[in-house]
Amino acid sequence: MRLLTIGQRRQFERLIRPLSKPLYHAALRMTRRTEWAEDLTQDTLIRAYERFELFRQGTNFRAWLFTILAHTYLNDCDKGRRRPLTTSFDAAGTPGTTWDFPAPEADTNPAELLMASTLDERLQQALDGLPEDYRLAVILVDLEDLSYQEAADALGIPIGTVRSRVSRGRAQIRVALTGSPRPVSS
Amino acid sequence: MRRACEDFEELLSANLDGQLDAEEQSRLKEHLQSCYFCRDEAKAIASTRRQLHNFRSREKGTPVPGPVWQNAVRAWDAQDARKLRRFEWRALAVAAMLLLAFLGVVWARLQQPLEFPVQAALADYAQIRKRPPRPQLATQDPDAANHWLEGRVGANLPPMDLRLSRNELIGASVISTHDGPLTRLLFNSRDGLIALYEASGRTQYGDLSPVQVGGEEFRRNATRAGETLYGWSKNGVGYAVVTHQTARQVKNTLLDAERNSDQPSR
Repeated sequence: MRLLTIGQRRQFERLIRPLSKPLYHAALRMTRRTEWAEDLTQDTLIRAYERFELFRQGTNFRAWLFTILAHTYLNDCDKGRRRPLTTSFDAAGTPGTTWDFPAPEADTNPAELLMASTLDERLQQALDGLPEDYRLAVILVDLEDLSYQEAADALGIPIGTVRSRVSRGRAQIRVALTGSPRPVSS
Repeated sequence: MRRACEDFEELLSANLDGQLDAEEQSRLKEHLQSCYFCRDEAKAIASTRRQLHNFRSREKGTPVPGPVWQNAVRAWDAQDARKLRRFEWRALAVAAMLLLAFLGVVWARLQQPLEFPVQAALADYAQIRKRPPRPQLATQDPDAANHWLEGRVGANLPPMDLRLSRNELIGASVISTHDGPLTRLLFNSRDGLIALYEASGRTQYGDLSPVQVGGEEFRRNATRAGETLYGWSKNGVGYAVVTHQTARQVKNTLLDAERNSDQPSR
C-alpha cells in the first residue's frame, strides 16, 4: 500500500466527513443495533482509508463508500458474527441496543408530524419484515440512492438480481403498508 | 393472479428507475394499455417508492457517535505511521544498495589494470631524438637512478642495469602524462639512444602485436618514423623499451631489461 500524501489525506477527509452521518444511518438501518452499527461504521471508515488509493477520481465516492459498507456488513453476517435485529422495534429489547426512530424536525406541522411519524414507523416495520436479500436491495436503492449497478457491485450480485429483489421488496412493502395484496383479475 | 401480470411485476418496478431497455419498455407499454390491474399496481408501486424516498429525506440523521469518528482518525494515523516506517526502511535499503553498487564499481575500476601510455612514450622518444634533453637526474649509476625514481613516483621499481648489453646510462627523468607519471631511463648504445620507460600499475598494452624476441614475449608498436616500442609487464609494473634500432640490434637490450624486471623489489 502506498503512503498517501498529505494532500490525499486531506482530500479523503473532505470527501468522507459529510458522508459519515448517512453512512452511520445506513449502518443502523442494516443492523438495527446501535453497537453493531457503530462498529460497522468505524470499520467502513478505516477500510475506506486503506483502499483510498484504489478509488478512481471522478467516480461516485458515495457509492464507493457504501459498497465498502455493504461488503463489511455481509462479511459480518457471513462469518456468523451477528444477525440484524428484524423484530419490530416496539418489541421488548435491551434499552440502548436497538435503534430508536430519530425525531422529525420540530417546526413541522403537528398533524403532519403525527402522520409522518406513523407512516415512518410502518415503513420501518415493513422494511424489517422483508427477507434479508430484499431488505438490503431496497435499502441501497431506495434509501441510499445507489443505482442498480452500484447496488449490484456493493452486493456482489448481477444487476438483474438487484432488479428482481428491489421489485419484490417494494411489492411486499406495499402489501404491508396497504394491508391488501396485489389485485387479482377474474 | 393472472400469470401474465406476474411477468410484468418486475418491469413495473424497474420502469420507475429507468432500468428497462427499449424492448421491455415497449412490451410494458403495450400491456398497460390493456391491463387495468397492472396500471393500478404501477401506481401503487410508484407510491411505495415515493414513500421510501420521503422516508429517507425525513430522516435528518443520527449523529455519528464521537468515539466512532475519533477511533477511525486514530486508525488512519496509525496506518500512516506504519506505512511511513516501512517507506523509511525501504528508502534506507535502496540507498544502502545504491551505495554498495557504487563502491563496487569504484573498487572494480581500481582493480582493473590500466593501459600503458604507449603513445606518450613514443612521442617522448621522438622528441628525445630531435633534441636529446638533459635528464632530471644525470647519472651513470643504475642504483642511484632507481632510488631517485622511487622517491619521485612512490612506486617499488626494480633497478634496471643494462650495462651487460653494452648500454651506458645517461640519466633518469619523470615525465608527466595525462595518465600519470612515467619514469624514463635514457641509455646510450652503440647504435643510438634507447629509452626504458616504467609505469606502475599500467600493465595493459591494448591491441599491440605480440612478438617473440629471444624466447620472451613482448608487445610491439612501430611508428612511421622508425621508432619501435617493445612492451612487457611484471609484478604490476608496465615496461617499454623504445628504440629506432632493429629487433636484432636491440635483442640483448630487450632480454637484459626483461631479466632485470624479474628482480624482486627491495
